[in-house]
Amino acid sequence: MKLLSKYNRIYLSASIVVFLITGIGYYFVISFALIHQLNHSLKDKLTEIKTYAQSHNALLPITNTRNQIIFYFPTNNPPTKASFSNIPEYVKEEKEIIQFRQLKSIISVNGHRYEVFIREPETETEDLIQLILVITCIIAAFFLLLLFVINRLSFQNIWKPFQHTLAQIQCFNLSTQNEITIQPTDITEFESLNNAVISMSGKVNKEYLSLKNFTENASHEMQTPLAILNARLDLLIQNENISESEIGQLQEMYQAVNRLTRLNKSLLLLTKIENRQFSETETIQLDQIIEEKIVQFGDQMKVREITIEKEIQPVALKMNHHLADIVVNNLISNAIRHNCENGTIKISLNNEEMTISNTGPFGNVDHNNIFKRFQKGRNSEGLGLGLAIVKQICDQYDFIIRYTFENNLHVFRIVF
Amino acid sequence: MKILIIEDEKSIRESIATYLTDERYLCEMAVDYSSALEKIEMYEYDCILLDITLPGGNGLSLLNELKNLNRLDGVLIISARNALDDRIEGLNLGADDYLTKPFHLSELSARVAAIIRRKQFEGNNEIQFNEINIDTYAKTVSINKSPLELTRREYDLILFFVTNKNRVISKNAIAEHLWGDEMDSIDNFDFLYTHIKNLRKKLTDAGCTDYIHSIYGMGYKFSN
Repeated sequence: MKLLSKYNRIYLSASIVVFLITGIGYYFVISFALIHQLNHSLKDKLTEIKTYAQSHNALLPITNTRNQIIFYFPTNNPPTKASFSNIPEYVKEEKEIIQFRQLKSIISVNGHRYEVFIREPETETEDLIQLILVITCIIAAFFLLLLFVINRLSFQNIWKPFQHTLAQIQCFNLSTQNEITIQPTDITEFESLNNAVISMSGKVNKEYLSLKNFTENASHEMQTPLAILNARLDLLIQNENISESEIGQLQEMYQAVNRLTRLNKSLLLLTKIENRQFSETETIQLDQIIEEKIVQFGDQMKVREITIEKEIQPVALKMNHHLADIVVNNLISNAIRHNCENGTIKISLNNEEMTISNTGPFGNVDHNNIFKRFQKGRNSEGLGLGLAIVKQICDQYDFIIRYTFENNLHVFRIVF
Repeated sequence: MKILIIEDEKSIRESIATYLTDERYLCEMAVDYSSALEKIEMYEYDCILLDITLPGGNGLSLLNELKNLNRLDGVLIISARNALDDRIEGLNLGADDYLTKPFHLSELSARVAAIIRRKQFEGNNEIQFNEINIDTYAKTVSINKSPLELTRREYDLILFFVTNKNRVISKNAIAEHLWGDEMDSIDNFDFLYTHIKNLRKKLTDAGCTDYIHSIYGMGYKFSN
């Protein structure tokens, strides 16, 4: 639920309750005041009747109007206090039952007692109350509507800095190292939010940079000891007195150094791609790169008697040449490594996609993790970084890469 | 042939010197920027091996110094950073080649030999090893003056062997020399054996002595 609707819901229901309560209160207060006024007017009439009786020794002549009805009844009851009551009575002229306020009292005139009834209709009171209620309702409705509109308009304005900050957070990307900018605001809560976001993003960026630099520096620092190892091994094998078993060990050391070197280079490459150090792009002919790679890998494919089938159309792409080269290189090398003897590699390229598929044993290929770092097949002699690098490059250019196993082929498909 | 090795890492410096001295180069060494500058100003070298990250200064500014001195010494940059920018900048500043650490000494030696060949006067781009003659300019090989038809890889291979003659070269070094960084995995040497077998056959068929001695499990040695 949006904050505005939630807020509207709460304050609208609260307002309605408040208006209802005040309305009811208002009703009672006004009707009380009006009844009080009626009572007063009835009492005045009674006093007039009493005064007339005293001075004239006779009952006040009755002049009934629509608004006042007086009648007397002779009675033997002792005088009592004047009492008020509400009497409903059918009125012919109005053709409806009307509530009357009635004052009943007993007076003495010339030694005779009379019950006096004075009635005044309450219709006016009711009309008045109705009118007041209607006006109150109209005011309430207008007030609520006004509040609603004001809220709606001011809400957008008030929350603008928040929306801006939110948009910035959503766009925040570590690898592009974009700084979060904020809109100045005089709302304390948003200001503290902004400050928190800025300090957090700054910290995260700094940590990321230092981690990034660490990887790069560590890789570079490793090159020197590797160079020493390599050079020393190169000198060691010049010794003519090495035994065969020692040669075996030296060869294994060579392999280990070689592996470490490649691992190091791959990690460095991954870091560089992540750091967008290959940002310059040019128009490359992907078909030409593939053809070159096929020639380069010719020796490896010949040894394993792998045949290549290609359906390649000229495709020009805007990307970094080095990265395009790496993608093709790693995919073809992968297709050779995981192939079987006398296997096939199929390469197809058109403007929509490039697929490189190869024959090979159907192993338990983990579709989800195949592009993750250091994920490799049980018998693979690779480093487990080649496909991770390909994925990283594809991500940079918003290409989609997918692995499927179809028609007994391991298929890697890149959709441009 | 005089070579100056500018490298702060003692072990690498000495390994290079040992390997190149055995190839009859005269090696001098400098361990930091100032001693390197001193040597450069005083003597001329056929080839300078230059590490970019040096104590006391950037190796690239030594290239500027050489330029200012109007010197034609060949320069091979050896660097731990294989940043493309460094490479381009180094080559723009007049370096002849760029080698990234770690490298094989045989590779270094081949690169040094190539630089020296290129720096020498014309006509000296021929290498003679007994009956084998390699024209590095035309990229042709002849045995007893009769031309030998070789593929590009076989040519690279024989040149690499001859420039590292009498040395044991590991399989890794040969594979890296022939296929370079492009090869993601060189764990499988089968394709290397094929090339060597083919080269050997072509040489012996042309009446050449078989100079390629295989050192079991390790690599090859090209020698009498």
